[in-house]
Amino acid sequence: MKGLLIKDLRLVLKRKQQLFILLAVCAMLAFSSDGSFVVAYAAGLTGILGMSTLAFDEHENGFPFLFSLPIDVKTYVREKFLFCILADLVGIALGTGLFFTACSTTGKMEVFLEDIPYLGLYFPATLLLILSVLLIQMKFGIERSRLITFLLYGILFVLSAVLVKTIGPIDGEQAARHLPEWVNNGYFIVAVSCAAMAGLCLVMYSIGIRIMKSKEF
Amino acid sequence: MIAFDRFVKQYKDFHLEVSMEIPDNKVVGIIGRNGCGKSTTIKAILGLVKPTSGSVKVFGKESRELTPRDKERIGVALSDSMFSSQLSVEDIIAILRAMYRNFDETFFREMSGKLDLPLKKPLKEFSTGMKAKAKVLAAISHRADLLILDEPTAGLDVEARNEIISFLKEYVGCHDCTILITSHISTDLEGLCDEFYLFSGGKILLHETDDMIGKKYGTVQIPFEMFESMDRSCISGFRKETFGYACITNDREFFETHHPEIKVKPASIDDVILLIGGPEE
Repeated sequence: MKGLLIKDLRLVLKRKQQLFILLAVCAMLAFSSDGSFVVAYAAGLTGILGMSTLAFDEHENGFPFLFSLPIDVKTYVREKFLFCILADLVGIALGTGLFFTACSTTGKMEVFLEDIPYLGLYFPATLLLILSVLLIQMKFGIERSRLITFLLYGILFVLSAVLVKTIGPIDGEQAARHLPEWVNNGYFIVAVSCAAMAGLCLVMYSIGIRIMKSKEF
Repeated sequence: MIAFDRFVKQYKDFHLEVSMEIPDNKVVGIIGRNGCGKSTTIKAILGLVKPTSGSVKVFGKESRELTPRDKERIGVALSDSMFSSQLSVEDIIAILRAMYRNFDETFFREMSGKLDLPLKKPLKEFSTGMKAKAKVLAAISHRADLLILDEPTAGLDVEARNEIISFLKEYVGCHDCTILITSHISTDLEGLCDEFYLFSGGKILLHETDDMIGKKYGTVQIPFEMFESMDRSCISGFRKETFGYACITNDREFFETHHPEIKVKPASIDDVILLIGGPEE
């Protein structure tokens, strides 16, 4: 697994131009927007960077050679998941750092302090998105997965729009008022979300293994 | 070392059937034209394809059940697959160092220098010859017990081919290991392999040792009338030409005794591929 992590890290670091653009866009976003959106944005982008290493593996028929190396399917999937999780965490850290810098230099520290407990929510949310696309890529390959991801998220968007139109917008704040105080607590919500994501991660990991095991190269 | 037991792989438009054993410490060549099943055979050994029926065993285990530890004993160079072309030789060194306990970094660096492989350049900027050298070097740099080289000289000019072949011969001379090498260029394998398998249309047509090809097989040119009337049981393959038939025999003695008027020349591996393997599809 160490060898695979080194490979992926080196592949990501080769993309200096993209890394620089990512950093610049995130910095601009941190100073130009009011909320903590930059944290989600940075986590999403670094997650995509981590996920793109799968495309490098598949590109130019790389899988046959890769699986002739001393690794097995389980190790490969585990490493891809771990790398995406780490990439996502780097994004969270980067986004939080930029958000903090922007808040402290513009004198809006109260916004930062208020948002602290909820920053942790961006991690399971972006990770769910990244890992689900990773699984689609594993299953369908990079080319076909683009179309499938687009279609899938299109359907989800339409469904949620229909749902909102049918039952009307959900007033989160009002709903939260009915919850007991210990539940309606930022840290509790983050903890529950992270625990749920951990469980989901295990399920997705076993799906990933099944997908890769069924493949021939 | 490797045992194919009635291995069958069925694709929509291709059927491969292999039964063969590759013994320890032998250099075995698989020859045959493009699309004859050489690469699928290699992939079966590496567990990259599932058999439709039959089995492939490597080190006594089903190939798809090889553990990372088992795979550390195998060195692989594939014709159409390598590390990402974004990576450099320096990156490959770092990856192999982390993957193989027996990775010989000093040897790798020394050989990279000898073979003129730049350490910092990404592979995408390498020539075909440089890529081929890098692949073979990566395969042999961790003291593997089994080397699998799929068309290591494909697409190379004569100079680069000779360089890789002499590099391999040097390696074979100093290390005890089993090598399975495929090629459609027979001259690459002459003097390197102990045994040959000839594949054609997904089947093994011939299995001979290097010595026996020269001793047993011969090429003869037979006029049309004689060809029609003669006993052809000793003719393994033939091709119609303007003067008559160019034939390959697996019984040179038969011609020397019964048809002394026909000159028998010792067959080369190319003759075997051309005349026994049949016309290119």
